[in-house]
Amino acid sequence: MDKRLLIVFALLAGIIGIYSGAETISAESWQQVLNKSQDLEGYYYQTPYKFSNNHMGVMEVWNQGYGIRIEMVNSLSGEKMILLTRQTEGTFYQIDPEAKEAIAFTYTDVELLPQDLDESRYAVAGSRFDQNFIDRVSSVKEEMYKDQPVFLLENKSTHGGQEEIYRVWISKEFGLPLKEEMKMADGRIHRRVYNEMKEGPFSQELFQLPDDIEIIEQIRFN
Amino acid sequence: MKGRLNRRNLVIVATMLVLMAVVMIQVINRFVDAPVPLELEEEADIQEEPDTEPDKVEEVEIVPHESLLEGLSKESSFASGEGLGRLMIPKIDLGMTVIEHASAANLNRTLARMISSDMPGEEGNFVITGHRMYQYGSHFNRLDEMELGDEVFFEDENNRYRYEVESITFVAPSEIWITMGTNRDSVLTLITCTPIARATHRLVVFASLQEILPL
Repeated sequence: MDKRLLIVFALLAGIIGIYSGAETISAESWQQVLNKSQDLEGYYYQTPYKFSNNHMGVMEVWNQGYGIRIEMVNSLSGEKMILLTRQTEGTFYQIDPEAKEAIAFTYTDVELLPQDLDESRYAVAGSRFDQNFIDRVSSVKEEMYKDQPVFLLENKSTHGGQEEIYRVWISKEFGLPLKEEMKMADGRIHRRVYNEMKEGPFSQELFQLPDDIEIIEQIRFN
Repeated sequence: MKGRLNRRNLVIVATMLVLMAVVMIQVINRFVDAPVPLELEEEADIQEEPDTEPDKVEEVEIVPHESLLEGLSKESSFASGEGLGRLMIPKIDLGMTVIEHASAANLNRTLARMISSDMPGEEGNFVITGHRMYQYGSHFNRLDEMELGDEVFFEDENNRYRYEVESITFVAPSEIWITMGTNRDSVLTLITCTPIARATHRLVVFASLQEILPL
């Protein structure tokens, strides 16, 4: 066979080889992508919520450093509730912005308390995709979700011969979940989705209690 | 000689075109025909949170806004570890004492109320947490079996409260919004760890108050 022909074949075969291998050889590992969110200057997303048949809607979440702002709008009544959490002074606020009122919840000595299913956990909990989670991931896939490249991670748990499976679609761009599923032992699946994700930074004012809000009740823990 | 060269070039061009077509098909498959999502496998049993914007907000008559927070009864006369009452869930054959304050020590004993939540009654969010024990039926070991419409009862010294499950979800441990209540409705929230033995998340069952029966 002509040399030039061989060279052309070799080049094209190489291109195809590299392309077909691209799905398994990712630029970043899934562990690196999971750590990505910690380097973001803040992030925002929307997710649906439902307390009851009378109270459901979409919540907007801003997360920046130790500050989280959640705005929940009841789609049936139009009423809004705001939560400001992980305030540096150990207080979080539940705010009715229209009434300009808030309830303040204050923690003391949170670092000294056990990290269990305890109210203190809510104030100090870090990323749920920590080493404990990483060590338990049982399968990893790369795929597209809503036109975004993601890692699909699966975490299986068994007890009494039954299996529960947690699945999470982690955005390669943000290192954050775009979708999560919890498949219970009886086969039912609970699902959460996170939309309109974007990176900060956001104005610090978002995470501060406005001056015109009156604290109507103060709850102290511990 | 000239004719041979032309044929060879033709072969090269044709081969390149075929290979380019193969590459293009792969590219199109990757970006246009994305893999079928896993969730379609179990579509029938999915209990999904609403994932679209809610329907148009109903037009509300303009009336002065009444605070969502006033009147919530968070003040408790119970000391940490003191019994508040009894939680009963027929569906999972549960009947356990609920004590005040969901501290680690209290949760090792039984179910406990989160003191950031509201007391049971007409308004607010009464939050009870419990461990997902390994032993079958112990504490909230079977909470994952709860379904929409299931009945939940809480009984204190004076009343029997009947709730019905209206929402089930899961959250990260740091998501405190699940414990927030307003004076517009009365919700009982049950929380435990999930998946069992992994506990990366919290399983959350929301039930709405249906009636209060004096004892």
